[in-house]
Amino acid sequence: MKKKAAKEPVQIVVVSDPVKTTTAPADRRKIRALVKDKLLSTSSEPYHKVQVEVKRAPNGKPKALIVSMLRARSYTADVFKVSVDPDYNARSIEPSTAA
Amino acid sequence: MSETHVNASVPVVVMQSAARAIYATGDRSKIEQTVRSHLLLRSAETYHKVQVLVKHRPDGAPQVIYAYMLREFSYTADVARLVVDTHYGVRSVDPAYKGQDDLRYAERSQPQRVFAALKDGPDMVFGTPVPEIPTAKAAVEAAYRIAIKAGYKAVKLLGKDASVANYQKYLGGHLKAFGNVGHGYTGGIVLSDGNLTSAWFSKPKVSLKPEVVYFNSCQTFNPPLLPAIVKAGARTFVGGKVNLLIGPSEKVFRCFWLNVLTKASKMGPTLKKCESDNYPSAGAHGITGDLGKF
Repeated sequence: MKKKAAKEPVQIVVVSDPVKTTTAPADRRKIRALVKDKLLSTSSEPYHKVQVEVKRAPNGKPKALIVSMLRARSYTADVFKVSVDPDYNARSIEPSTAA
Repeated sequence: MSETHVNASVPVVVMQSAARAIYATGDRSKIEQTVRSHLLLRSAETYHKVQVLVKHRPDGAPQVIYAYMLREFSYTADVARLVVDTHYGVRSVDPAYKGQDDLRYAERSQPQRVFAALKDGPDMVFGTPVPEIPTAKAAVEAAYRIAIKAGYKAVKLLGKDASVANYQKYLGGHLKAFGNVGHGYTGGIVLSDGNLTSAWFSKPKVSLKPEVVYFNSCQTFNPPLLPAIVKAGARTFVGGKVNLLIGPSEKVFRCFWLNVLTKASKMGPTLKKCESDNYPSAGAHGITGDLGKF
């Protein structure tokens, strides 16, 4: 596999919900910034890709992000549940095995 | 310049149903519009055609729309179920429908070709949501070729096709074997559009009998995923006890399938031998259930 250079950005994919409307580009930008700031920049582990699922409240507002960080050297996914406010600011971050 | 969705012109064919031989133009137009707006234009998958069957209430009013969505680039039919009101207004959408009772109703009607395809499904499925990792893609393609050569009907799911809905559909389809190469954790595996977790395997309606399931994915041979898969009835389950290295682990995967499918080797000893021949450390993989011949 092609190795990512030290400063090569890790691809962050916001996966689409097949039923609800897709996440707006501006919201995807906020999600990517949150993942970079709160998770990628605080880890020394090299990652291949990050996938983010948006969990929503019944009113459609974001409630939490399930962030699956795929390591570059093993088939390990580090999964975190990030509780967010409606503007995608992190309220809490915890490792997840249930999501 | 306006952009056109890839499925904008996909033909939607309303089939003759058990309750109604033909539909008025107005009804057909509503059905077509419903399928287009709620399914086709919301999907990232490219489709060739959609065959639609409407289930009616005893009073003749429409109740449920089943859409058999035939993919453009594979012989896959995605089945969706839309609950509708009397004017075909959508009440709920299940884009990955798997219920059997309603399919039996539908089977009495027209689209026999689709049902034949679903019934005469594959024996084995091998997939990876990360085909951009060359060793992952090569391992899945090798297992697929081994299965075909051994006389089994096999399907491979690469990239986008390695989706949660597809994995659920096939894992729940009473296959002989299922292999995944991709990232995992103690609670599940990561697919192209989300995670397939222990919660799904724990559902009472999920049955993995009589499958040999091999997740070439880290940490999957641990709770809560391991007991959920065992409880769901898998004949044999192989997974990573610890983190599995990209590169060597696929060699173990390929070695396992080659030996159990073509040389009638026992699964337990084969995994151990394949690991000792191809992996830098012992005990990284776990196997449970039937350890005998495939």
